[in-house]
Amino acid sequence: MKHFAAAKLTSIMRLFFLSSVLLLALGCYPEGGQNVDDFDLVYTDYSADFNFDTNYTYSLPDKVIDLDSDEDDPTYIDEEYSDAILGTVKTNLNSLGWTEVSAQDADIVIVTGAFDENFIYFQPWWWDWYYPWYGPDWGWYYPGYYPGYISGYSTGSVLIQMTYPADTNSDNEIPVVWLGALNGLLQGGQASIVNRIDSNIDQAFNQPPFNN
Amino acid sequence: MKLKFIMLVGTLVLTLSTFAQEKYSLSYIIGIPSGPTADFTPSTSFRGVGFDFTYMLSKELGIGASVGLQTFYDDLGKQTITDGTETTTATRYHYINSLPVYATASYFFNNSNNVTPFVSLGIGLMYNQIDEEIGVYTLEDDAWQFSMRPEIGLEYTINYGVSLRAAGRYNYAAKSGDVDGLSHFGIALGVTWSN
Repeated sequence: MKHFAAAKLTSIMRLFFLSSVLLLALGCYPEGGQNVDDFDLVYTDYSADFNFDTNYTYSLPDKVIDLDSDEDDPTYIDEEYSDAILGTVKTNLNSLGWTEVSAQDADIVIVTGAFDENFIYFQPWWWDWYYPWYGPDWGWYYPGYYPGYISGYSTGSVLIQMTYPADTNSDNEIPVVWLGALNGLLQGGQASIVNRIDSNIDQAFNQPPFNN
Repeated sequence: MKLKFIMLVGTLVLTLSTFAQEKYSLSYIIGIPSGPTADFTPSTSFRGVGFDFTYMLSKELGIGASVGLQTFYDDLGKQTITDGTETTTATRYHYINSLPVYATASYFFNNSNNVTPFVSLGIGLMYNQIDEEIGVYTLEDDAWQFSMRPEIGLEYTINYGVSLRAAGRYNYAAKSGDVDGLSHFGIALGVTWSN
């Protein structure tokens, strides 16, 4: 009789522990990021040979190119976002002591693009960025560095390149002396996304070589 | 000669089956990282389970198998990391999932009261999966690593065939390829039942 009772207890305990183990294994797995901005990423890279400590003149485009577009003519992202991107870039460049001038007169020509397509692989030399005055045969080179690729799923990315046309090489390639890329989830309202863009661009300008 | 050998094996099997008793243990395991595990995920893990099977060769000696799963996790917050000219700022989450699988030999110090101390040694492999979440991206690496697990513990009999179990163990893992040996300590609390 005692043996029977013990066997019954064992079965109950076995069931109890198996249930506990399953709950533990399935229910308590840590989940990582919970907020949209937990998934934001800011990436920068630059040419170590370029002197960023000079007070350069620079030019900014009027709009941000939509890099998802297959159209022959350039298309642009919504003004609400491009105004935020260009305004924050401008604020940061001015705080470096740089001066905005027209594209033809600028030491540094800034180009900006954005995309929100799934499974995009960013390889910046693929795209025609509609440079202010050069033709389609012109390309980029990255003096002394090679930016990594950025991929995303259901994410948005903003790309900012600083080019230095004075060092255009014999193959008509314009050096990109600094590259900034922001990446994050396309979630939340417009104001929230704009805030994240602003703070992430500020972060890009707080990274080397500008934080020295 | 062949007949003698068969008789010898037969006698041995018969002797073993006289003691034949199987023990099963399920444990909740607290994992304490050490070495490279602590470098990557410094926090103590409260997410661990283990299952042990022991076939008793005698009242004291048992052989068996053991499997477990321990999840180490750390929220490192927003970090800026510079490598050469590249700088990345993102919130980082680190994970190590350790799955040790061992063949075990255990010795039980039987005495008259309800408490049975034991020592055990497991030898086998530990599968370690390392995830580093950066923004929406995850860098993954994994490795099967040679592993040993010395263990000491106590079993407290609460009813016929049912015991509570507490043990301290060290799951040593050897470096394999470019993955460091991801070792950790474990405190296992569970229940054992036998037939």
